[in-house]
Amino acid sequence: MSAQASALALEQSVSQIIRGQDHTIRNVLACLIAGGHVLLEDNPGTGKTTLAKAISKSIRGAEFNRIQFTPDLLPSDILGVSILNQQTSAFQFHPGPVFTDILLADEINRASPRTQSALLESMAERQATIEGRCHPLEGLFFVIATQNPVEFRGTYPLPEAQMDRFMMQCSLGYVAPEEEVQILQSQNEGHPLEQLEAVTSLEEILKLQQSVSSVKISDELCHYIVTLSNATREVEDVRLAASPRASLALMKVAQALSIFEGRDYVIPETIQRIAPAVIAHRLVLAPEAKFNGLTGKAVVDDILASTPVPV
Amino acid sequence: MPPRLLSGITLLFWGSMTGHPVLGLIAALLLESKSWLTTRWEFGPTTYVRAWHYSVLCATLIAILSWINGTKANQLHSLFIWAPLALLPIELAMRFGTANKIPLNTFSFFARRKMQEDERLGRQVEPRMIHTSYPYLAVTLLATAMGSRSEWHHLAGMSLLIAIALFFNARKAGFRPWAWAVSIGCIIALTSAGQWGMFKLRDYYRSSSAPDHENHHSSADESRTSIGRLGRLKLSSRIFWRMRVHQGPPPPLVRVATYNRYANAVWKYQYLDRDPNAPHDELGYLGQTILPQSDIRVFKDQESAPLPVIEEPAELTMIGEINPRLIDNPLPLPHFTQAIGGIAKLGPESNLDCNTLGTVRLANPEYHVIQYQIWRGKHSTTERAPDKTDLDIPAKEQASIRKISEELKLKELPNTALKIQALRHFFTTEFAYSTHLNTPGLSKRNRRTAISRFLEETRTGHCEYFATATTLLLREAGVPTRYCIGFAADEKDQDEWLMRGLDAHAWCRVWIPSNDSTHGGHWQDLDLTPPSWQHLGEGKRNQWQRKLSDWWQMLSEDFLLWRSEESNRSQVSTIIASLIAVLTLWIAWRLWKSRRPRQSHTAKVYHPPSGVSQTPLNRLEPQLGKILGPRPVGMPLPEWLAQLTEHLPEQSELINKLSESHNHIRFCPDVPSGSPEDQAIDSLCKQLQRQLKSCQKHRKRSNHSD
Repeated sequence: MSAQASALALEQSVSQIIRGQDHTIRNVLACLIAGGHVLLEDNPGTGKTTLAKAISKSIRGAEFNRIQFTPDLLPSDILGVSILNQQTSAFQFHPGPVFTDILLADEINRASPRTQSALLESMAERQATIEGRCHPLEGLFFVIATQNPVEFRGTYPLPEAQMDRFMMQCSLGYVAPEEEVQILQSQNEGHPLEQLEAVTSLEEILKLQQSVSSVKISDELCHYIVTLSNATREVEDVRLAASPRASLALMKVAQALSIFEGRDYVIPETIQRIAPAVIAHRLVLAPEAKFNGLTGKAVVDDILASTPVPV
Repeated sequence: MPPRLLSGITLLFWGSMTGHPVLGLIAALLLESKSWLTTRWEFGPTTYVRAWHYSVLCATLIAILSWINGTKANQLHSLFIWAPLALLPIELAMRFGTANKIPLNTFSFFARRKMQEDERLGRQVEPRMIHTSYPYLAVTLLATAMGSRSEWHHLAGMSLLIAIALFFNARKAGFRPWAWAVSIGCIIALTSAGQWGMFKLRDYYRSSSAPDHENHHSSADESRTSIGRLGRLKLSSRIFWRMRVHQGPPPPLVRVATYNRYANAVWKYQYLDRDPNAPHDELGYLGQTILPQSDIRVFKDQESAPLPVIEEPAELTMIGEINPRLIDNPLPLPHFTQAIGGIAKLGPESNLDCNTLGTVRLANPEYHVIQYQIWRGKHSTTERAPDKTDLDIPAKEQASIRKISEELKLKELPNTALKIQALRHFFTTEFAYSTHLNTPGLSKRNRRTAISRFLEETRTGHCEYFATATTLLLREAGVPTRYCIGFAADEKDQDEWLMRGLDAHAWCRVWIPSNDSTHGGHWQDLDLTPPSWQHLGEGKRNQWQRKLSDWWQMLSEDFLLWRSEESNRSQVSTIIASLIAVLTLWIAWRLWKSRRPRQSHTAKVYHPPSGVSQTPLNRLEPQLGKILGPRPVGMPLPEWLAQLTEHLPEQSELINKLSESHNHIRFCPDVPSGSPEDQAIDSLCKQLQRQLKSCQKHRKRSNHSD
């Protein structure tokens, strides 16, 4: 099975459950293949959790855990804890929900910053430090974090450093009415998620992740990516611009997307298509610009329109 | 927005009414060119603020220019005539901006600062946007009223303008004859009412700014005194004249004008002698001789008299301001003046005249600040010997004058000196000096004149009373006497004698017959006003505000004198012209800099790095541009090419193939040059080219048929 075929099979499987969101599903899966984590910012009830479950069910042998973030959640609730075993009178390590393949961090901005940063280390280093000992996170470790933009009460906004750890931020949004009708019909007799069969295996996904680096990208397009990142640093209203990590993420996601598009090289359109999702959430805007209605996406769109593209 | 051309017509009206048709035409063309030009600038708020600053700068420049031309601070309202030109920058910025409106806070620094503060704090602020066209129209009409020469022309113009405005509005709503007729009637009525109001306003301002002090309603022919008025004499402490003495002692009294006939508180100059052989014209003005190689004018009462010897430097220099509204301004001169010189700035229409009483007047002055030099002789050469007018007493005054004369037994005294002595004694012992003008008896029975009341009842008054009474009493006693006005020189500031309104004075000229018969006699100053009058204004003279305004007045007078020199005039004009030129250039440059550049995507073009081969599709780009328009700088070529499917729907497969192979050749790093891909894309491009040609032909044909 070629890389493109297994990637498309996975996409196909997830789109049976999440209807009318092909574009977002592809982006999220590209992020998975590129080895990053994704942040879904969306209104309640748009299918964020379902998306995470659908991905994990489509992958055979993929373990799925979910953490519902609340203000009283502690780092040990995520990472795990050592408990004294009275029979052996030795401390025994009980791994937390973070030791998994696919982790859904639901409403991540409800937890305290201390708890958030525990997850932050795991996401960046692929390891969890518990009571001074490092435990590596093996296998596929893919975090889908969600946050609700409208719920400002009782939330701790994610710090900029943590936003930068997410490879991209997507939003599902509301689907078209006819799609919504289909959702109603399909869920009339039980949830389709329960009938979902796995279409690929964990090994294949890991293989896919390795094959991303074999997608070719010309020097010209590397320059183009760096030019885009640099352009955010010259915008007047941007306090914190895209870092080299953002450029790297843009390249990786573009390579992963090229696999879906059946190409073994990257083209400028792919970079342009994915740039807002990869860069916009990393930008911190000046407050006065924010008040005037400027958004990170608008900044990126403006840069894309004004930067000469390799043709 | 006002209807098209209304602003232009109003500006033309302004130009024709104020006498600047060319400027009005230029301004009108600038404003109205908006309708014919499609150019619009994307101005930001800063540009509007700059335009407003330029308007203020223009107004300041106009004020400076008018000051250089001698407009006084109290006539500044007359500069309002120039408001349409000064406000032109901001109006043009409003009209030629894409927004077609300007923020209201453009005109207020504080409002702008408040808005910036609000923005900094994150408040949502939307500045109020306004149209300035109608306010500008109103300002133009007001300025026209300020500067209009003829009320009737102005009324006609105003009616016409309002009729035009109404017609345009009526045309939109549908034309109804009755309503139209009634409106026109209302317009004429309202216009004339508004016009009357505007002219009243203008006259009020003009009259309020007119200088009101006693020597300004005096001409060489007539002097209206304050005799018989009520209240308190308001003596101005302004400096009227400055005298520099180069040689000899300073003259204590400087005479402005002499008069010989009194009636009803007015002294006049009357010339009786109609002798055709006399060396003066029928109005009593003497001939004058201009000395060769100079502008020194010598006035002589008799043709035969020898020319005096004029030696440089002159004895005195006078500097002062004259009233340009008066046709003839009498000039202050000390007695025995023989020649006047150094008035290089007379102007082509101006002239100096000297009448038979020795009053020298400057007719039609071009500048209102003048300077002249004076040469004096040993005796007076300009005053004629006395005639019967110098003994004339008006009928109304005769009774009381005779009564006083008889009390003092003036007629019985043997000579003039004793008569004068008796009068001096009478005035110093019995009379008091006062600038408070007494209320006359209000009853009908009181038919006394002001002078008779002064002599018999009140016995207080100011110099005009004393001088008039002295003149009439001496005439009664048979001594030819004339009344004269002028200044007493008794305040010295460094090297100049200052003559203020406070120093304005009236006294007499008395004919003293000589002892020998060869020479008939001479005229001599006689001042019988009690000497206490000179110290009345002491307090006013030394206030610091007075000193400051004196300093400013002298500075501006000296500057105006310097400017009116022929050599300096061109210098000043050059400086002003270059200032205006520099300012205009600077404005143009700033405007050019402050325009917001339109997002021109043609300026940014992608230049591929060396070693990257372009595909044949890249070379097709210009041809594709003819159909699709220019490719936006951020749009990849295949995405742009996809738009071609709208024009060539049947070629979508070819277009997709082309895009794919172009992408592969351009962005896949391993494709060697000269591969089969290259040949394939060549043939695909040729196909597309053929399609494009046929597509263009088809488009041309359809354009022609349209």
